[in-house]
Amino acid sequence: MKLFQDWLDRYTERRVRRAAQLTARRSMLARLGTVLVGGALLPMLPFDRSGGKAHAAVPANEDPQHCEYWRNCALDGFLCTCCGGTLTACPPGTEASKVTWVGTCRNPKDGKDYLVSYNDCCGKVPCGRCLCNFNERERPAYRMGVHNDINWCMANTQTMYHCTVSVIVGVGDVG
Amino acid sequence: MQRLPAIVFLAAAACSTPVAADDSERRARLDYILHCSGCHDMDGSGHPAKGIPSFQNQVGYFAAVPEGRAMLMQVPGLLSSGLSDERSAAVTTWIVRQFSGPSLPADFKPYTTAEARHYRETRPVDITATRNRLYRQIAEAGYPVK
Repeated sequence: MKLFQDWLDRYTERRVRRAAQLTARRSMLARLGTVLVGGALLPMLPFDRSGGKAHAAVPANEDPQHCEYWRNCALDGFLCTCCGGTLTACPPGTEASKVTWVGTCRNPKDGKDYLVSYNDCCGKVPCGRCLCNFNERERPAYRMGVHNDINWCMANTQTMYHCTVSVIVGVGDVG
Repeated sequence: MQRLPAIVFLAAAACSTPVAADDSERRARLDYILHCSGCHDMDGSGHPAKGIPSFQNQVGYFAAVPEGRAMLMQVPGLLSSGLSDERSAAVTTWIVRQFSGPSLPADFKPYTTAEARHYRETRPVDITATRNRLYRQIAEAGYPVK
């Protein structure tokens, strides 16, 4: 046992002296620094992170910020996707209209007709971006439920029109 | 395990028999979403404060009396929807069944196409006055309407 302990002592001493001769006392700092800075810089390099998708080339009919996007087929107004909201959520500071008009749009991806509720977002001045005016299946004003030149904010406390969202409320697969 | 095929067969039969009824009910539901829900809301709650009546737990009181049953098919929203007599009858039936709750008359019968045509032809001049009068009568009779 004594022999082994002596050997262990000598071995450890040798290794430590060797390490002291070969490495600078501050080399640990240098290496750690390299890892830290490198780790921070690496993600900033211009790698392709799109997963193979070319975002600049998204066709208008697949981009919710375009009138041609399929869900906007019967939308008359400003797209909330261009006004700080999303397809289904009003921008901050506005509230969804209590009454709305419901239209039908065909999704070219699955060929199904979807029932889309075009709620207006109310309570701020008109957004002014991405004006769309498709009005598919619109009827004159005496058919108010399917007339589009109506401020659907009329039943809200704040009646100022800001923009319009496209919420899917059903699938219409019955002829 | 011997009985499984029989059970599966029975279940399939039970599901497939009322196909026609299911389709027309589905059509009526879609018509409701497309032509009515914009103002009366998906849950039939409407906006009574803004003059859009609620269906919830009260539309059945109107359906229980002849004049009220007619009135439900003479409202401007339905008449201006452009729906055929048949589909108007189906969507009104769907509304009464869907939203009446405890107000559903025990003997409620689905609206027929002939009824729809008749009600359309005999529409009162002032439908709002008719509706308000019926509403008052129902409230005075002690039923909970809002």
